[in-house]
Amino acid sequence: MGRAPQLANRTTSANHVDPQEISLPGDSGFWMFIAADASLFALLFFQFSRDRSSQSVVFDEGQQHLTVLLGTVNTLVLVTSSWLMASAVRSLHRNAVRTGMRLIAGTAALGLVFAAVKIAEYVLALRSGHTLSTSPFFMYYFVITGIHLVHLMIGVVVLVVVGWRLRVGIRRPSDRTLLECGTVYWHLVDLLWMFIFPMLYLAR
Amino acid sequence: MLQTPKVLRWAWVGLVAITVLSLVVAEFTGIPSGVETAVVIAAAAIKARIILVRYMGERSFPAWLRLYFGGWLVVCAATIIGFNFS
Repeated sequence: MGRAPQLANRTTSANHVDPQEISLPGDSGFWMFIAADASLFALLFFQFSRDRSSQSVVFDEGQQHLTVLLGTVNTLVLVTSSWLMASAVRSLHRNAVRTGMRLIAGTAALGLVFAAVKIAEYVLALRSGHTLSTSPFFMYYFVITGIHLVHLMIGVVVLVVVGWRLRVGIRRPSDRTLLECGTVYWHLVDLLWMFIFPMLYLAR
Repeated sequence: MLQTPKVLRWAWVGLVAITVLSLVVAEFTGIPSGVETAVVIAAAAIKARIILVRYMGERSFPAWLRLYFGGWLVVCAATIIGFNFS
């Protein structure tokens, strides 16, 4: 695990950030981005709900082709990943760098599990003849879950970078900011899915 | 604001329990669709609130951010439920 364990015993200096200082949230500019991103999804929810109210038969028919169990599994995967990420931040705050790194690796791994299940769902839908142009429901399904999946994959990449920076040692203020922003971003991905799952899979 | 491991664990238990309950309500109870939608979206709002408070540290947010996310939650839930009854 390289130099990571030594990191916990270092003292703070001008170019080094002590993990003891790590806490939420990240910088205010990033929070503006998070708020704007959440607003974009709120607009998508609005548009989906409005179109559904005027074409309820088409939307209900499309929804019947989704596998609720896979959506539920992915929900459980995401909430578990958020637990691991919050625990990772706490571990880093307590100077348990190795534990923090493992928890971040676990979070990223669960992100990949989510992506694999989602891609399997896409394959099932496409094999059944459902595409973006099949019906308004599937257009929204692919667009909303696709944008969310892109967010999730960006989150996984950020977590990998954060884990790598922890491995070589947090030295710059930007490393600390990356950790905080990566954590907030991951929780946002989870937060958005809390509405996407029931809206697409459960609500009738 | 960092939470204790116990709080983080119970938050996860709550999220899992509400997810399973939502699935049961939607798939196995046979209640009217409008009521079912209201229940599962309200459950989603509660889960989102748990994530905000317990995992994202919402209580340490500046006032404008707390107000924003509080409003975002209400608007998302009200939009989905409201159009369902329209």
